[in-house]
Amino acid sequence: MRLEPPEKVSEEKLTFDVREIEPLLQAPPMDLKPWPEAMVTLKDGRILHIREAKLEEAPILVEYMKRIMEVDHDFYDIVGARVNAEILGWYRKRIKDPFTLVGTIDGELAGFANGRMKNEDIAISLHTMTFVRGGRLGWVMYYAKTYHALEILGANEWWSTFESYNGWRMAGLEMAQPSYPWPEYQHELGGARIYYVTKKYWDKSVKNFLRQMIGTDLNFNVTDEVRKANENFRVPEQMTV
Amino acid sequence: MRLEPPEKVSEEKLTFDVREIEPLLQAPPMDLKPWPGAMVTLKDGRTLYIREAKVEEAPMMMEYMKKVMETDHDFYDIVGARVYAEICGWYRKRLKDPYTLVGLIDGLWAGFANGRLMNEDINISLHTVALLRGGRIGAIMYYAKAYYAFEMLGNKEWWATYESYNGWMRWGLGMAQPSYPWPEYQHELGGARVYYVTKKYWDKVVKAYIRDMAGTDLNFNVPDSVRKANEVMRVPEEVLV
Repeated sequence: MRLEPPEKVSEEKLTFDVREIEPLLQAPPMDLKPWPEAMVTLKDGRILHIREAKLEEAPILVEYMKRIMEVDHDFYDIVGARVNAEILGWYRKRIKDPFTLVGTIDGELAGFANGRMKNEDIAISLHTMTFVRGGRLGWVMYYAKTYHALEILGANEWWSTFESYNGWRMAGLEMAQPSYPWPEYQHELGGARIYYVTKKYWDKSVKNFLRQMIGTDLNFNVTDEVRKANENFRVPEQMTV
Repeated sequence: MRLEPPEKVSEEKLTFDVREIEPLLQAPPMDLKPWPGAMVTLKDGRTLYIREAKVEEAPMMMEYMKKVMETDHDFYDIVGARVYAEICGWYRKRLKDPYTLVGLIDGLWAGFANGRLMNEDINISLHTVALLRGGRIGAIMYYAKAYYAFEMLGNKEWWATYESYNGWMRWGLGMAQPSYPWPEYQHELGGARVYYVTKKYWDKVVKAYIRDMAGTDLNFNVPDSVRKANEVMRVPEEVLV
């Protein structure tokens, strides 16, 4: 679209460096407190270490998600595709204030949980996945990221939605999450219903429920040995979803 | 989470069919008027036919998008990953009121444009991709989907955002799109700024601008021969982005 300038101008062509345009496309980040890392002793005795994923690990996660996208049952294809896009969005700085947690056992990727901060009050839950069976890993990862949002980042609400029946059952039904009026409120994952947990409901009920389901709590005193064993992760060779 | 029922119950276990849960996860569709199909004669004389993609074509389209995702320049990786997830969301009914247009030249997939309806008033632009070079295919596809939104679906606003500098330059800057206050308004593509076009602005300026960009107008009198030539879609062998 062009209009004649209503005044003489000294330069008729202005050239912009892409670095001048980038601030329009990349959201200025909030100063999010980092996830301090935690460990959990699973029911079978294994130790799950939960830390923030490193940006340089994004390509490994993306490659692994490409395999999940091929799984044609229980909505793993759409979940894998969306997680793939979310990891790439984080990698390419096209997602506002994301947090990306990985759960590892002796350096093997066992769980994934991510979300983003919409603003200081609302945290948006994106996805939770487990790659190793047993140990209630899904519950632990969901607990960790909700804990991060509501306890560490200070959000007042947690907005979830669900692609799969299992996801809805685990978090929507089991946590008795209420939902906002639809279509007035839509989750950014496809415009689905928003199920939410307020900080008040978390404190009163959900936090304890999740702790009971896990059978333990997050231990933030991570030993050097556990940290070292999980400094770098490898992805499981086999798909067990 | 469990609570004791406050009354005797005749059945302590209730079993649900997943078909009973599905309506909670799948948005009830609005009755969208279908895109009627249109054609455009490109400058080189070829005919681009724009029709709705068929859901059975989604797997083929996703396979192609996997290749786009591998492109490591100009944000094609994140665009490819998001488009893949959007197509999969449409395929798995996890996207509210999507529309998916494909531009075909003699059956060869040349352009893609999609979006979804947030409600009767707001149309969310998702992505526009030209798969073949030349011919202003990107502009034509963008015009087609905006035309569909404003002229056929009766939307009042068009919400866009941009991952790439080229997208922003062509559409954001090119249409002199205003943006909503951020972070109060966030586009569902990663929480980025919402750039918008109102129906009034479309009528007054934007429609003519994009039509000029496209270099032609849409022709809705599509002969059977063109429809037939594009009934079956095939994807390009190479990724030319």
